[in-house]
Amino acid sequence: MRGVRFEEVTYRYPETPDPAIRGLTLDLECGEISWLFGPAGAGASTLLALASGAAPRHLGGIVSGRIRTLGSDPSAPAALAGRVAQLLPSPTLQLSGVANTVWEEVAFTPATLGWPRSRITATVDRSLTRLAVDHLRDRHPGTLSGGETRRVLLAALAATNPDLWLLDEPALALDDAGRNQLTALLREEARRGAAVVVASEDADLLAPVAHRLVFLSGGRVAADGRPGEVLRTTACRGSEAGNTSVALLAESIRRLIPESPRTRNPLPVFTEEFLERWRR
Amino acid sequence: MTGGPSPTRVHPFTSAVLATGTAILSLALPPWEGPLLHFLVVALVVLASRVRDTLWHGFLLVAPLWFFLVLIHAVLADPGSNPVMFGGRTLARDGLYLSLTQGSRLGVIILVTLTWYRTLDTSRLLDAVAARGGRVAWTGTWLAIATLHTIHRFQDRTRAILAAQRARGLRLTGSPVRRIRALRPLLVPLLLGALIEVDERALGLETRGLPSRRPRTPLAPPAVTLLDHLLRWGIALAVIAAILYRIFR
Repeated sequence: MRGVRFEEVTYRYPETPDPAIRGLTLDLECGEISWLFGPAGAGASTLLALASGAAPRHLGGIVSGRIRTLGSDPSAPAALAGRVAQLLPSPTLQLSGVANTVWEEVAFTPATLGWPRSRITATVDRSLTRLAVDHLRDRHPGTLSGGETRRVLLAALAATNPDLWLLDEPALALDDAGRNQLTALLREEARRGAAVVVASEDADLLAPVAHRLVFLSGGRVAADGRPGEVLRTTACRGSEAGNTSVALLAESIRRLIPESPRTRNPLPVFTEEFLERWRR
Repeated sequence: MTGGPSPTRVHPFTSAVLATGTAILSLALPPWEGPLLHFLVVALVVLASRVRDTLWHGFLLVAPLWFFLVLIHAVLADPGSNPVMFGGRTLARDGLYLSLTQGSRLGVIILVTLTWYRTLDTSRLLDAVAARGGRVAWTGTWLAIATLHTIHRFQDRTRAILAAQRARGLRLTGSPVRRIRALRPLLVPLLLGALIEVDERALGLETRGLPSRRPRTPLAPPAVTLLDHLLRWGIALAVIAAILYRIFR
């Protein structure tokens, strides 16, 4: 099954002269971690909003072309309820607001979907363990830190075993342990067969785990391929945010010793590449 | 969270019935001694409860109403042939009784509403509604609770904006004119932010399964105990007795 299909999609936000997405055609597959990235205003977060139906339903604006999310029209949210796990940039606004404990918060979506109680109990316990938030189960969601709230929300989204993940900057406010749990979750979900789509500027997080990097520029796909390959393209290297820490370090070294064979193109993007070159 | 630190353990419907019944009882009791005595009893019960600070919040809401009721009906009204002297002033006796009656009734309604809100366990209420009603009833209850929650969000946002504007040099002290002027940089971001947040919140909750049309599963439906039955019937009988007394006395 295909995760999301965009066919000749153009989208313009309300009261803006230029479209945020321009005639874009793109398939995002199940079983893959697709990383959407581009300079600010490139359209990565907008694509997530279009895939979930939030645009234009909540955000307004005009859309043309055809979008299919898990084979359905995203403008009808009932068909996708529980099948799409969407993490927004403001996680506190995604909390149910009626749960007394983290356990109830994670159980909110499965209960709202009408799952049997035994199934809810099993899936909530599993989700809390997966995101390592089991120790927070009796805490009130309103008392959590930003990173804890994000992990609890990820657990809540994972509880329904969604077929599609739409994550907007998921690593914000996460510590190292949280980032590791997040990458483990993304890998597991892709392995399970879910389509995982992440809009992020965090190259250190996504470059090692993403199967595919879709580099966007001006609402169009500028490059599409394996993260290592795309990050080495000129378009992508021109964007500071798109570089991994390793790539930035390699560039700094090249400025210091431009003649060294170790600093010739293509510069390393991943830690292993960097270490291999400097071991020689 | 609406539930606060000390939610009641009676069935959520029981606390709603008690709050509604107490308010109706205040309307049914014969003026003016009935509502006033009832108000004092309710105030004492609140004072003895774990949410006793509700009494102060209630007083802040009720005091202006009382003031204007007495001013309009007793002080400014024609004292007529049966006035009452109070603090060297001649007050209209009927107007004073009317003020006491209406003020007490409003006081009871405000106090029971605040107490019910402070002691409400929203999660248990939603479970109770899910166990009894269909999807529509649950969504309606949830929407009502979510609306109540916006009060807390609004308070938090006000504090944040106030702190931010103070850091940027806003002065909230001084003459009334200065204070009124200081409201603009507070109200504009507050209202605009609240409007934007409504949209974001709607989107956020859509991601939590709200568009589903299936009946909600109650996670831990509260049981109706003997105490619940006693309380419900008790308040119902009290209301009926008060109405019958008013009719046949």
